[in-house]
Amino acid sequence: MATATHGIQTKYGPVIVRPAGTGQTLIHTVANWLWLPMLVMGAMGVAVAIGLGIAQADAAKDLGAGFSADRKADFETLKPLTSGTLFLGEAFILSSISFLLATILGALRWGGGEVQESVAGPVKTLKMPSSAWAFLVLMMMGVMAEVVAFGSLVYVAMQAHDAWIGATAAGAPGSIAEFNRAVTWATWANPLREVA
Amino acid sequence: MSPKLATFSLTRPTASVAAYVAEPWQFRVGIAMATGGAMLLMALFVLTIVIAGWVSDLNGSEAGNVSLLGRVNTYEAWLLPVAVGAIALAKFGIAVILYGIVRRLWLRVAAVKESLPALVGRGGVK
Repeated sequence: MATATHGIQTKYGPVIVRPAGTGQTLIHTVANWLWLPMLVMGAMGVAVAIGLGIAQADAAKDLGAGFSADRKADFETLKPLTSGTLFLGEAFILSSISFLLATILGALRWGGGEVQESVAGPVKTLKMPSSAWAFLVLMMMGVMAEVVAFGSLVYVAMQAHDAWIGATAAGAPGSIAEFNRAVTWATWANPLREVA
Repeated sequence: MSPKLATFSLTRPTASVAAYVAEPWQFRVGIAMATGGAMLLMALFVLTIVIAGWVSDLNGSEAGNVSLLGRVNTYEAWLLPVAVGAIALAKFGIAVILYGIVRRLWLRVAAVKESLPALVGRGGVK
């Protein structure tokens, strides 16, 4: 006979007993939907960063041939853009892996429920552990911090361009204020990118 | 949430349990991608040793330094993105293998769902 949903304590921890299958939790549904878009966005981010790196290499080659403000501005602009895009792509790929791991846990939970249901018993599933919530919060924080770092590095690129476009000699930026702003932002944006 | 939304999944195979015997392509492709990424990283590591040699030579004449510094900057500019791209390739391989694991898991669930009730009925499971 079907019983109402209730909780019991087992040696494995608190368990929810349901009369029928569990389906997916919200987190598993989100993970199921998002792992592929994250993987595609990550691959695109890394591919764009490799393109930017090649463009930066070209700018470095031109700069080696002879100094000009345009060449230096191009090189200094592409540097933060490349690293920002690179790490954003990496963050998306790591998010995709996290979502796939959550999908595996979801399959174990949902599939286990279906197996229990198939032998006509009430379905028992473990309550979602606190580590699962920690995983979700940490991953979301990491992706958000990476997006902030990317935005900051785009700002650094803009400031670096403006600082070097008026340069008159090698090693002397045209605008000291914008050069200092670029250096200040890059000083904390690069570690943030790594931490994220 | 509608049941259709909840049950749609790229990771849950729609094929029959018979597909269980087929070898999953994800494991071969995933391992190939991860190995490719690792090999690319090893090649780039050798290249960084060469670049380190150029950097140690940066104490010659002024004119020679400018040309050598340009070469170092050129190589370094594409080396970092390609190195991180190689790491990304290895991670992509991990993702493909995880995708294979979760699909395999669902095939296992389908197999157990089919066989377990019959085993219980015959008293085969205690």
